[in-house]
Amino acid sequence: MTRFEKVQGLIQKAGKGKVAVEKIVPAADLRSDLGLDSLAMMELLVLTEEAFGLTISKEDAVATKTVGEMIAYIDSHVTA
Amino acid sequence: MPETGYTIQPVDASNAAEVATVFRSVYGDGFPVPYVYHAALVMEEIRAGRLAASLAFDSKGNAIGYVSFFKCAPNPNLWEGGNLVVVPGGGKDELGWGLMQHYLQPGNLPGLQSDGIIGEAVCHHYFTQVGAVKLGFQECGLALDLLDGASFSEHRPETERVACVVQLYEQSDPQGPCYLPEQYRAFLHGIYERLRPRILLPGTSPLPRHGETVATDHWFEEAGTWRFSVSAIGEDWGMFLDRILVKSRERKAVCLQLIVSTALPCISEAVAQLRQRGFFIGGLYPRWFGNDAVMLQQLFGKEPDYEGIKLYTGVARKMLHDIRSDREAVQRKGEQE
Repeated sequence: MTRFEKVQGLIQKAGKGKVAVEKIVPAADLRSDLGLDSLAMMELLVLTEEAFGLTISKEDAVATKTVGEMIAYIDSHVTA
Repeated sequence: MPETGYTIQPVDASNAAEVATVFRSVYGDGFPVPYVYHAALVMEEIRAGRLAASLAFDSKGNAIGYVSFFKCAPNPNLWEGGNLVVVPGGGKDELGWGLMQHYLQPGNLPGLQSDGIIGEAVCHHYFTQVGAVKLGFQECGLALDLLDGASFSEHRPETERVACVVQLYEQSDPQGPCYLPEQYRAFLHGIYERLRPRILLPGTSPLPRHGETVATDHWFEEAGTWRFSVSAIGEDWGMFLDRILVKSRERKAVCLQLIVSTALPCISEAVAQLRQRGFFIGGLYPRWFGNDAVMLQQLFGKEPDYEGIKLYTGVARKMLHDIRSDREAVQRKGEQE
C-alpha cells in the first residue's frame, strides 16, 4: 500500500465512509471539497498520528488544507 | 479583520442574547444549563463572578462560537473550562483552537488568582481532548457514563452514555500535604508525576470517632448524575454512604460520584468503605477544594460501553484500563460477600 493509499483510507475513516475515494486527490481541500468538519478533522489528526507515529502540532494541523499538503507533511516528518 | 476571519469578544449586555443562538445551533433547546438561553441570566452569572464567557463573531457579525469558564468546585479559584460550542458550518477549524486557547492567555480570566482550569472532555469524539492536551492540560481522571448521549442533538454519540476525561491546566503551586488512599497510591502517583510538585503522604489514620460528614452535592437531573464533594468525614461516614446510595436508587441516578478531599488523613479507611459499597476509582480532581481530591464513582445503569470510549492519549487509555480493572475487582469482591 502506498502512502497516498494509506492517507485515502484515513480520510475515509475520519469521514465515516461518506467521502468517495475518487474524490480524495492531492488537490482536494479537506474541508471544502471532502466535507470534513472540525470533529472529522480532529479524528483525521489522531488517525494520522497513530498511523505514522507522529506528533502533529496544532499550528501544523490548522495549516494543512489539502490532501497534497497532508502527504507532504507526512513525507517530511516520517523518517522511514 | 484579523487573519483568522473571526473575532472573540467578551460576553456583555450588548451581545448576551447571541449566546442562545449559538447553543440552539447545536443543542436545540436541550442544553442542560438553562441560563445560556436567557441573556439576563447570563449577565447575572457574569456579574456575580461565577462565569467568564466569550463569543466569536464572523466578518458579518454572526455569532459562530462560544466558550466559557465557570465556578464548579468548592475552591473559588478553580475554574471549569467548557461549554465550547462552534456553530455547525459557521466557523473555521482554527476557531475551536482559538476559543480553547482564549482563556489560557494571561489576563483573560477574571479575578486575581486562578489555581487552574479543569475540564471534562467528552469521549465520543476527540476534539476537546486533543485540543486540551496540545494546549498543555494534564489528564487526571475518567468519569464513566457521566452524560446522557441523547442530550447531544449535534454530533450524537453512538453510545448511550458518554464518558469524560478530566483534564487540568494548573496555574499555581499547591499548598499543604495530600493524603493518599493506600488502595490507589500507584495510580495517583502516575497522575501526580505530571502535575506541579506536592507533599504526598499516606492517608492511613483511622476514621474519626466523632463529628459529622460534611458534603455539598449537585444533582444533574438531565444527565442522571449526582456528585458529592466531601470536605470532612465524621463518625457517620458509613451511614452517610448508605443513605446516599438509597437515595440514588430512588431518584434513578445513573452515575454517582464522590469527590473526597485529600486533606483528610483517614482517606484510606474512607475509601475502603466506599469500595465495600461498590465504588471504584475515577481519578484525581486536583485543586478541587484548594487542596486535591480523589473521585470514586458508581454506576447504576448498564455495563459501560468501554469500546465506544474514544481516548486520545496512551495516558488516558491506561487510566481506563486501570479504572475498568478496579471496577471489576470491586464487583468480584461484592459477589463473593
